[in-house]
Amino acid sequence: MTTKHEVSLKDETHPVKGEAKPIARRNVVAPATDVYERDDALVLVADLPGLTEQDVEITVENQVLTIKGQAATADDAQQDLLYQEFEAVAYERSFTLSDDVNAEKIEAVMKQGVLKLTLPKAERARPRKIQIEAA
Amino acid sequence: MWPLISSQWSSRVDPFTELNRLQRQMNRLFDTSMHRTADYPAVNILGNESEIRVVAEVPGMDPDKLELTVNGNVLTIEGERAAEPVDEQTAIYRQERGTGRFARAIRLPYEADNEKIAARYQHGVLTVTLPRSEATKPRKIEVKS
Repeated sequence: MTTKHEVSLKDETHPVKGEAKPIARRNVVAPATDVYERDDALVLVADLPGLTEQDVEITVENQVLTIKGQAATADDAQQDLLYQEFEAVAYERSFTLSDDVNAEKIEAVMKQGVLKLTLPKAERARPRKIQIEAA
Repeated sequence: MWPLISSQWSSRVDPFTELNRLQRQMNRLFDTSMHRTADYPAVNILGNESEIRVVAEVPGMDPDKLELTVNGNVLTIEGERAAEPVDEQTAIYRQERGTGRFARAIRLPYEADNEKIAARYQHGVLTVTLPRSEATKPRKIEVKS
């Protein structure tokens, strides 16, 4: 969907703000995800706090949908970390799609750190109502 | 199978090296630099002499549904995370994201200046900046001869 993710990955290998120390590879975490199925589409909602639409990359390859992303580093050297419960992580999660999903028409919306993917079902997979004609 | 295992232990093991290794492993086990708790939201606290910054991961919130209160040196973050609206025709396959009301109280190392507290909610991350109140700042007392 976006190629900017590669740029941010490249940034990781470079020292930030002239610091000599190499940046450690971030832990990879699977984001908490909800999956729903509506009549017309599959809906996937994933928590990616701190990430913008530019930080997330969504790919579909061989029926595997992959969500990848990590927030741009914004470390503040002015302040000491006094207490830590979360760290900057890289998010990654894959889902295998069935043939019934129209991969061409996947929609993705990012809002307040939550990614919502709408995967429309292929026409053949949608429920059909059959009208009964009076003879 | 046995030869494999015995070969692993047949080399001379220095008991001290082994102890040190064990100790390192134990230290890692009880490493307190990361406090993973089940409390929601997860917070990081940054600060220096004059300011504290509380950063919380609360994705998908309506900022109006986030309530912040400061009482003395205790900051409380409250809110309600709405569930995705789901109708009866919708099948739920996975529901890993938590929903509902949450509240968390965080004790700060000092009292903040209530007038100068600022909060910002961006990309699902809440940042509360709490400047230290003048009254609690350390005072230098001159020693007179």
